[in-house]
Amino acid sequence: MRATWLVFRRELGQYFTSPLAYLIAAGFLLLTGVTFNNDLAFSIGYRPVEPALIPNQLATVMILFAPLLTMRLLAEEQREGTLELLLTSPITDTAIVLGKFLSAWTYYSILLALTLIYQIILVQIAFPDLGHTAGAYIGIWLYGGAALAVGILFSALTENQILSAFLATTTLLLLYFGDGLGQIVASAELAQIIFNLTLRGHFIPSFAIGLVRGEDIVYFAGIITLCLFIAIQIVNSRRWR
Amino acid sequence: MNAPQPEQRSIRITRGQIGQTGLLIGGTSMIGLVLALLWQGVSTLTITLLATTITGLATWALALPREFRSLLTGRQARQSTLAILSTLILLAIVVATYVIVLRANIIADMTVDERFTLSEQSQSILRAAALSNREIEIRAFYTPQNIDQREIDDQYFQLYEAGSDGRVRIRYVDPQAEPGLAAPYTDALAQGIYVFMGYVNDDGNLTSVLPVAMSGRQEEDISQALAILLASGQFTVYFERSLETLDPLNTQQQGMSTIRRLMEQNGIIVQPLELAVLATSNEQIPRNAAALVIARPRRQLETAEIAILANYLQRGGALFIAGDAFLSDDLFMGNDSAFNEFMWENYGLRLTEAIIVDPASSGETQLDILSAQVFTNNAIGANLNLPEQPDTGVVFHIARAIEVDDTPPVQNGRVIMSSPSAWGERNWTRLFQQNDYSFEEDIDVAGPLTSLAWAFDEDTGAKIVLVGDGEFLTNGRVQSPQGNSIVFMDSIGWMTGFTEEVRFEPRGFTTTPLLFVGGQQLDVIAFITLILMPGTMLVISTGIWLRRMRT
Amino acid sequence: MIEVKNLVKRYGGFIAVNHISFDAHPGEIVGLLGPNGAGKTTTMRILTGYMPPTSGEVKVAGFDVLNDSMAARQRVGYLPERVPLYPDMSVEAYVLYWARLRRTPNARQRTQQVLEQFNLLDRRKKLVRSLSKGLRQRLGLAQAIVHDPPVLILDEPTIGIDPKQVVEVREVIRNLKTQRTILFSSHILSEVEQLCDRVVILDKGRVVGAGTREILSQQLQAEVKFYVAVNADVEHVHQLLLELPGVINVSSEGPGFVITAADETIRQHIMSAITINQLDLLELRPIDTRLEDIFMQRVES
Repeated sequence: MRATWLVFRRELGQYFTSPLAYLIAAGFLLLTGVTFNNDLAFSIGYRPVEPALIPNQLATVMILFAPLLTMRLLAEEQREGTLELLLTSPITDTAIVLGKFLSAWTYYSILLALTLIYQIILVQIAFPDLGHTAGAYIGIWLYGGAALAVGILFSALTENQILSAFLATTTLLLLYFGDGLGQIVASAELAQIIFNLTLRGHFIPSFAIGLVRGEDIVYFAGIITLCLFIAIQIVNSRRWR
Repeated sequence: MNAPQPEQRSIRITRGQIGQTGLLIGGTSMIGLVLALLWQGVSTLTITLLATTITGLATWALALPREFRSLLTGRQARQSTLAILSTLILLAIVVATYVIVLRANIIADMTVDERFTLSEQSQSILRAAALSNREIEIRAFYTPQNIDQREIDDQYFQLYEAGSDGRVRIRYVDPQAEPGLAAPYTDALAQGIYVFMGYVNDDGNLTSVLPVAMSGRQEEDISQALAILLASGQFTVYFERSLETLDPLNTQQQGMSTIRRLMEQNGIIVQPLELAVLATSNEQIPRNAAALVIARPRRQLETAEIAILANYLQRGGALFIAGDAFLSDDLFMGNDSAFNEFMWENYGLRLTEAIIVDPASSGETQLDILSAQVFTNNAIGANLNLPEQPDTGVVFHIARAIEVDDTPPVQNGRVIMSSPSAWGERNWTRLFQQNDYSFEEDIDVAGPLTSLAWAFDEDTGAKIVLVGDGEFLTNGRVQSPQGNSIVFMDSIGWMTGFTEEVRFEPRGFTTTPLLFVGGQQLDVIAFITLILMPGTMLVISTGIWLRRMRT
Repeated sequence: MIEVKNLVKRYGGFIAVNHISFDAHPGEIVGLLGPNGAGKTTTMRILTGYMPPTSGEVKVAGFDVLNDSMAARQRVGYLPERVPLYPDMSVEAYVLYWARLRRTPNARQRTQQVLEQFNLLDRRKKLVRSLSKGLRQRLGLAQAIVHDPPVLILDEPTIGIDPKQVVEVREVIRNLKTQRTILFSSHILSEVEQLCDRVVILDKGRVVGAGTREILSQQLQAEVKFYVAVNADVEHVHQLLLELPGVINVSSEGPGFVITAADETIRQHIMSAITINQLDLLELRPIDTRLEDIFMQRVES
């Protein structure tokens, strides 16, 4: 725990002193801002603003941003040689991976909190469904965690940051749009199974429409746990190569 | 650092790799096997998975016997085998947890309007459904292409299944995979309706099928359909056929099949009736007649026939009479006809021999009477002339004016009137033969004139709706505008009590459309969200980068 | 204290370290010598707890690196061949981070101490990326000792830095040895000669020679070398020297000859031959058996 905290603190500090991280934050805000302002213009006097608007957008945005946020976490350590020092320090491999993951997830949570500005604005000018929005934010927070965990896994796999980001993005695309595969499939039952394996399948029929389902939480938590576990195994395997 | 010895450089697949692949396959199959067993019980899938599990694990045990033994004795196996094993175990735990939680069906409705909690009214409808001894099925069609929509809709359907203790079941059909099941619904499917509700027969087919339009208000749509379904068959409306009336079986322009179909879609049974036959055989109108529709009769009523109607009304019956203007000696409900007098004496309503001409009408001609003034405070007119919806107006083509007794023997009232500048043309010969009409001071009647009126006898329960036009019920005109069918169905609904029975009160939503936001406010919002906040990030980013460059 | 007994390390089918054993004691600097691929880095990585041994017993400061890995790692300071850096951390933050990770008590204080010791105090706020190579080396050493480990393991610590800084680094290493056990690897023989109390020579995963220089040279097949320069006909002298008893080799070097013989008595034989032949002796001196010779001999055989 102590080591996890130390790694976490260092990595979080790196986020706050990294120009790239602030660029990503700016991109985040810009993308969501455009969507928000657009929807605002179209909704006036006509319909309520869609409560899950921003989380829905972030679901696709994170497919690119999660790998960008995590690509350096382990790949850089490997390349700079500091991983060797970490692995010869009296700390567990779990502490290393966990600390880094928590730092990425925390940074993401901060970005999410920044997007709450839109809700604050909405409350001044309408009666938004805050419950629905809260549910959607919980969902996208977990979803983001899962995407970041996938990113860390690929960061552990290679010392090339670009390759890591590429692999992670591809995997996330597959996990998100995998139900496209289901559309080609002949059987509706099989398509449903595929849908329920995808990230979309655990966001669209629940968090996005205002429901929080137990199995979705398990799904995202499961992905996080599995990816981190495999990442730890990969880091550990460096000792055997 | 470690140059490989020459003999290691072969591309030979090692035993270790074979063994570990076997472990991977066997372990994953084992997880799939457990899942399949839980889901389907024994089936071809589970047997296949059993085979792959055994093959995979056997391969591993044979290729890496030392590790297989160490698994049993607990000693340490090779690192990567251990890693694969423990990952698989973790996967199994995750999957098992998922299945358990899935079965537990833990759902929280976060919406402020509780859209995923059924309202009191829905729940009482469901209780009524649970009491009925007939299975109800919601049959919904989804292809593999719209599985995501199916998963979303399922969240609503589930509520009904649970709330009715399983009396209402949901069944998903893939129209591509089972075209036979989809065949009866082809037209509706083509129009974008993909959800249907009905009672389940012994042979598994649906009867009394109602379409359910899944609009943005799912609870309303489904509950309304359910209410109609439960009420279906309870109401029978008769259509008079012996007076040369419009024919509900006729699908031509002059037929009335559209009206008939509309009623049947709402679960109302439509039956023919012949007053002439009843008169000769000295019978009465059947007891189950919730209403009788006399649509555009072309002759007068005989005494015996009037007696039958009087008897029916005395029993609390309901009459929908659509008279019309013909150049004929045997005009139905003419000025001095017996039936006209009967209606005037008992209910304060009668048809006049004046055709409404409305110069203010924006119809094709001045004879096309738009519903200029509508009394919307009653069940018949409540859904007419809705603001911003021109299609909810009513258009009559050559309509007779109705006279309403303002000191009637029973309750009565007007529903649709013309504009004040209209008049009632009495010279029918000139109108029909020369298509010419003009207001003549002493002869014609000054407006505004009534084209649709109602009467209600509190004591007997008898209800009457009298309309001066019959053509608006024909296939050609009944849905242009939509208001024509609306006023007919609402009249039937009021007369039979159908509306009372099935009306689903939509509940209010607290989330309102966006209030009006001024342009200036929009600009401020745009500035904060698009320039200020992202800009700050960009500035910080540049600042850090510059500082790095300098040190 | 380092104890290695019968260490074997196998990667798949390839044996990187093949039954090596050696010791190192507190107050000693032990040099690990060998060509590339000899197994030096592998051995060091096993000692630091980076990877586990395939078989054998390895103990650091009394703790087994396999069974008590955490305790062992706690007591080791490690500087890998490539100095590991976090380019975007300040010097101070960098050292402090490692101090804390290794449970150093009074981490901040200790960091200040170490920075002072290595003359990095005035640069402590600078980013690591801005340091020169020599400073980075020092920084690497700083993180290796910040937690005051009893054992120091340095992998080629003077590679790639300029000569002036090399001297500094060697000085630092020398000063560190009080009460510590230091193991460092190198393939610069002169450096090993200068710094080490003892040497372990590795080749192809095996120990081919171990001990102090003196012991090693005694282990050599009792060879002595002398340099002789005589003012006479070169051919004549060459022939003369070749005929001396106990001669192994005579090779010309510059104006004279290097004569390799079985033992010290060759000196008397040379003197006698010169006197008998009335030759004009210009120079006669012994040549110290250098580590280089030992190394080349061990490694080639």
